[in-house]
Order: sequence, then structure tokens, then C-alpha cells
Amino acid sequence: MKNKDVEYSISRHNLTPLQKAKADKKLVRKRFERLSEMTDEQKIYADLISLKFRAIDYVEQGIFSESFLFSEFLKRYVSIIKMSRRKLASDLGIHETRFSRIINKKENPGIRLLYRIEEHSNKILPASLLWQIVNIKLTLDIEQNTKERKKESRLVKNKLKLLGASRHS
Amino acid sequence: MRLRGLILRGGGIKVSPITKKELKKLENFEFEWEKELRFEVFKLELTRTKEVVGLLSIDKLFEKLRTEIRLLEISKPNIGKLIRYDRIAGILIAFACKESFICGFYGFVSLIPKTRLIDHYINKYGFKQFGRHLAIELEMSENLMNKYLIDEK
Repeated sequence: MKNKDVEYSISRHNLTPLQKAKADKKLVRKRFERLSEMTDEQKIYADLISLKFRAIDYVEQGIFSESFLFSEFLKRYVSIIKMSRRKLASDLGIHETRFSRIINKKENPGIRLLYRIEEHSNKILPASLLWQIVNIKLTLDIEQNTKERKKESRLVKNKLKLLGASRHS
Repeated sequence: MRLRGLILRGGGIKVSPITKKELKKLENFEFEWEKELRFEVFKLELTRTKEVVGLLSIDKLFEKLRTEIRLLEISKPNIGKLIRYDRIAGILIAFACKESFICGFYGFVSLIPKTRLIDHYINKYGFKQFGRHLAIELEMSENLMNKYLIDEK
């Protein structure tokens, strides 16, 4: 068999139910042995990878979800690394009050903070990914903020009068 | 950062669940995929043409904290000498790793390959042997995801 087509499929195993059960049992035993040997560090690492890929899925879908607000994401990060908010704020070099405002949805994070979280997470959570999470909410806010749109519109002079412009009003 | 959007020749790809109706229409696959619908079946398709180039069936065993790859198949035009798109198997295995991490299984993915292919999976993807099963977890699982799924652009 040539190298190229060596792996065109993983077919159904040809084990009897008894053989399969035996193979599964052996795997489960090994699996739980390894789980019991896992360090806290490895568990945190795995949970962060899980968080990262759930975030990537969310960004890929591009549909806003309350459960993926940046503040919720940050709460999960705090919970995974089992650190107090105060300690994390200190590690990230921001004031606890500001950290609290971000985690309570009173303030959006700046890009500088996202770089710091990237560094703090050992680069598992890239700033660009975090920014995309923030951006999904920002985009929604911009689209839905009719009050601000009207307010700002009043400040604009000499608006371009082009054919079809009415469609965009 | 997003999931990898390229295999070859500028075509975007997407991995998503497949329906029974879609499975019935597929012609370039040999396995009886409809039988797999009691598990989770995913298609790997080219976003531009909607051509399905690979299929994957996985079983998420929550009580055992592992994901088992039951079946994986690459479409006929992508096999052997006429191969058009590389990396299809890698992407599908890496996708199973991603699902495993998301489920909280620490990236643990197992499969039972044909005996003659055991070395291939060990050498190419970093699987380890546990009796008849091969399995991958943690860093090796993440390495596969980074290699096959992540687009850093």
C-alpha cells in the first residue's frame, strides 16, 4: 500500500463484542490510572484548552451569546486557574476596582489588558481571540444603539446626498 | 484566530454535523454511514463548492471521559494517486480532539485501527497503544489541533 492512501479510512473494528469489551476495559483501566496521575497543572492546562476552543467555536459562529460575554469568559478563566480576582488583577497589573468593573460588565477591556491575559495564560488564550469575543458584543451594541446614532447624526453637517442614500437612513 | 480555512488551492473548509438526508445524497463514500447516525456524524466540506470530502463518526463516552473515533472516511476522489486535498484525515482526527477537550475529556481520543496501520497512527499523529486501542490526549492532542485546525491569520 502506498503512503498516500494508507489512511483513507478508519473502518469498523473487526473485534467480536467480547473482544471489544475486553479492549475497552483495558483502555478504561489505563485511562483512569492516567487521570489519577494528572497534576493540577495539567488539569488547568486542559481546561484552558477547552475554554479556548469553545471560544473559537463561538467566534466562528459569530452569533452573540450572553454566556460568552467577555466578563463571563473572564469569570471562567478565574475559576479554572483557581485564583482570587484580587490576585489575578494584581498579576495583570490593573487596579482591582477596574478589574471588578470589567468582570461586572460596567467596562469593556482594552487591548492592553487582552495582551496581558494572553501572557498570563502562557499564550493559550491569544489576545486576538479575546478581542474577537469583545468585538461580537461591540458590533451588536453599535448596531442596536439607535439613541446614540441619532444623537451623533445631529452633529454631522453636509451629509452626502447620493442616489440610493435613503436606503441607508 | 479562527479554525483553519484552507486545505489546498485556496478552498475554505468547514466541519459540521451531517443529517440523514445529506448522507443519503452522498455518492463518494463506501461505508454504511446511516448506521452511524445514533452516534455523532460530522462532514468535512469545501465551503465554496459544498463538496463533502470526509466523514467522521464519534462516540462521546462521558462516563469513561473519552471520545472514540468509530469511523472515518475520505471521499473516493481524494484517495490514492488522484488525491486532491491533503490533510483530510488529520483535520477530522484533530476535530475529534477538539470535541474531546470541549467535553472535558482532556483531549482523550481513542480508535481501533487495522493492525497494519498501528505504526502509521503512532508515527504520524502521536497516538499511543493501549491494548487494541490507540489513544491520544493532552499536549499531543493539542498539537494535532494546532497543526490541523488553527489558522493564525
